[in-house]
Amino acid sequence: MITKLKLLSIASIVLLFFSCQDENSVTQTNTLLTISLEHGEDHAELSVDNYQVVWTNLSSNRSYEGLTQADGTLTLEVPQGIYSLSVEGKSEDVNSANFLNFQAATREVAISGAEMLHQCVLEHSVSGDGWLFREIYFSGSTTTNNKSYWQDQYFEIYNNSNEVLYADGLTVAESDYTNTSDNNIWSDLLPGTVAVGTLYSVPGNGTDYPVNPGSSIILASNGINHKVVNENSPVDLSNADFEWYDEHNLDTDVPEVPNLIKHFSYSATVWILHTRGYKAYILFHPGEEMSEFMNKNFVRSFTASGSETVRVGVPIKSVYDAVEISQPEGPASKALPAGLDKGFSYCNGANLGVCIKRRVAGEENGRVILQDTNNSSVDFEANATPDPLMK
Amino acid sequence: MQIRTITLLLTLVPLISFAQNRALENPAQASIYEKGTIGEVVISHNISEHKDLLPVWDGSRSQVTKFQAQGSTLTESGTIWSGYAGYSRGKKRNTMWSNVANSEEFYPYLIADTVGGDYSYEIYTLGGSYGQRVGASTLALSFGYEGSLHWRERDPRPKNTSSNIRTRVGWAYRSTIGYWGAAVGFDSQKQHMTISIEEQYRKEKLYHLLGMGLYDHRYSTAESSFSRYYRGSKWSGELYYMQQSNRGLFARWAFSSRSIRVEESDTRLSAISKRASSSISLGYNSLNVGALFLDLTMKLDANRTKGYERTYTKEESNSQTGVFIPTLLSVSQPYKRSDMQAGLSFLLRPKESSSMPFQWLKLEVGGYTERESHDDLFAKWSSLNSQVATNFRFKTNKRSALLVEASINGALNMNREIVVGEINEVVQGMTIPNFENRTRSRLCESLMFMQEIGVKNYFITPFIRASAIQGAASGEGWGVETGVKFTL
Repeated sequence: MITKLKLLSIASIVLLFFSCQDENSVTQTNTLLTISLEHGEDHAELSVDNYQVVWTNLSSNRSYEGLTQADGTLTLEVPQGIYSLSVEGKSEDVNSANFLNFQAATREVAISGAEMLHQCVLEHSVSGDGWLFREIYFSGSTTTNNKSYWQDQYFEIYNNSNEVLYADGLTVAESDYTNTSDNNIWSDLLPGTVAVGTLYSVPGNGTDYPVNPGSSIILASNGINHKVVNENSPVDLSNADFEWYDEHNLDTDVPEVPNLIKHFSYSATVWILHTRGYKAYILFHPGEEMSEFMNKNFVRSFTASGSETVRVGVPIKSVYDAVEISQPEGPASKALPAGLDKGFSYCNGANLGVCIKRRVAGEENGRVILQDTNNSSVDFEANATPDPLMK
Repeated sequence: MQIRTITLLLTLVPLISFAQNRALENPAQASIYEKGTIGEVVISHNISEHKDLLPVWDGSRSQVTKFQAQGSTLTESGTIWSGYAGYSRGKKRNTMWSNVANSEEFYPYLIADTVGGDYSYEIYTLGGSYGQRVGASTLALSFGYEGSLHWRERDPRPKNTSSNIRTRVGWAYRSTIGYWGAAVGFDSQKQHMTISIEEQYRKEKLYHLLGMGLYDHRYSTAESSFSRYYRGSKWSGELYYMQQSNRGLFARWAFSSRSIRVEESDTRLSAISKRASSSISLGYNSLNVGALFLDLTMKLDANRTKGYERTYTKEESNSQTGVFIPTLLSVSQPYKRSDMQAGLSFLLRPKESSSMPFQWLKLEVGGYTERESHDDLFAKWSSLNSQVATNFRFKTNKRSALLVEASINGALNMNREIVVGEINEVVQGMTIPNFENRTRSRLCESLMFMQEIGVKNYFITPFIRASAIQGAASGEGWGVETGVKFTL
């Protein structure tokens, strides 16, 4: 009997510890991943040495990073999966003896197989020490009858420099592409140009609207105290600097608040910011008369049926700041090139009374310096409480 | 983080209820014990409160009302019939970090939000068995069904609909040297979980948990609705030997292999967890110790779980419809968990001729150890467990008696270690509290009174049971159960 019991015990332990060894479906889990960097045609002669490469596994959020060698390559061993890619670095332009910043970003790259090569073209990135978006309140709120209330939307634009800047001619534009659709008909223009569907500019002759360092201007949809009109609205915009006004019975012109100059809009009625985001917003100065700028930069797209879509292409070299906004899980593909925004920000839904708000990087002599790394995923706080800096 | 093994010893939930699935062990085994016809009906209500002692998804307060009925008969010709049915309705309050009913079963692949709340549930059970003696052998077949509904009446609103079908075939054989038995079983399990948010425009972040505080960042996004299927299957079996029905040597070996698949519409099959379990019992019943019998049992349980996780790419199949077709990119096996429990049990009971009020005295001592890991994160702990329990029966008249049962359980933590990487909401809200709660040393005292009243040819037995539990640091709890049992 004792022998039988011993046999039973041994058989049990053997079965326990080897019963799962038949799982042969587990595949190779690591990939030897090589990235190869190169500059675009404009900067093809510049070095790609010592660039920071960060691969982030979108499931585990674990990052794998390193610096490129002189030939612009870096090889890392990473688990298979879906990754985002972020590259940044600087190279010396021998002609001007200046260092130029370059970036690259890709939202989703599928990494699989034993070995894989990923080629990546760098984009020249824009410096952000002047005008910046501080808050963008696009989600709107709800009325007491639970209807959508979009009239309280606004942009807050901040002077992040240490000198007085003039807002005259400052232009805010909305990307034509809705970045959740994965069908960007303007993708051929990237990374040098972004097609926009609206253009509204601050009036003035160049020195009419000074903005002190560390101060903001508010561009409102309607410059009124929305808390009075709709108790669910989180903002009083009666002291807004400007409002965008569309001559349509859906809009109201507030006489106390100067209007932005409307140059272009895809909308036949009024311009409403997408209440879930899904668009990119650009802050730029045309550097010339807007009519001339537009004439030079109209872009056209034709559908298979032959219908034509006309928008304005904004060259990224004229852009001060740009922010990609999307759904919480990120855009299907980006409206902005990585040189303008490597990431994205978001609100959890429409009509939630929340905004995106730029984070603070530090303070200098009492002046708040906002964070601008050209990556809205880290520069902005999502689902923030609206709190514009009013005069 | 399956806690069933350890909380069985220290639970505040009802103990009075009979084992409703005993027909599902080896259904042919009934031929050894049951004589004639027996029947039982139990109605009970249990309330308990516990702080820092259970996983956070079990909440801090619970109540349940149960109705259970069971009967069996063994005819002279060796035919066995048995059946059971039950209904429970209860509520767990202040649950956190799981929107999935039966969280221990489906861990580590849970869905959670940060809101939590009160969970209501209903459980229905139905089953039975049939067996026939043929010569020295008895063959039997059993079937059991358990359906349940778990829901929360607050956004986000999870609703879990589950069904579990169990079948088992058993064989028992009486030889000249004792009783032999074998059984094999198959369980089919399905749970459909949906989460909806009724408040317009509202979304909540739903964490796709992977265990050890990890979650899938890619899929853990704000959602207004969500659904997932858990589909499980389990093969099990057992072999036993008993020298006599209630005397002499006995040995039992049981094993099972369980697989649970996690399925979602956009990723098809996101994870599989596989668990292998084995249990050995060896012992000797009815050793003579003066006027008493001593039953000795040694038991060893071991479980091992592995988690297989899948990564998909999203490829758009049609630019007009925008429908994405998921394509499998890789499979990995990062999750592992193993636990083992060993114990010795001594049960002293009077010989049948005894007329003492003393019914039995039980002493159990054992140890438990567990190790869990996911990639380079891990946790391990072990404890020493013990129980002393005794039961007295005071006869009040010819057909009435008062039964008193008292027990003290204890668990002493011997070591514990947890290493988690990224400190995030899941680690702070679930992983660390769960680990602290489960590994806390504790002491539980329980006292039960049952008044057995004979009425004609059946017995009515009202009962009440009270428990208190003290845990290390902030852990504490209590429980009260009342009810009545009708016995044929």
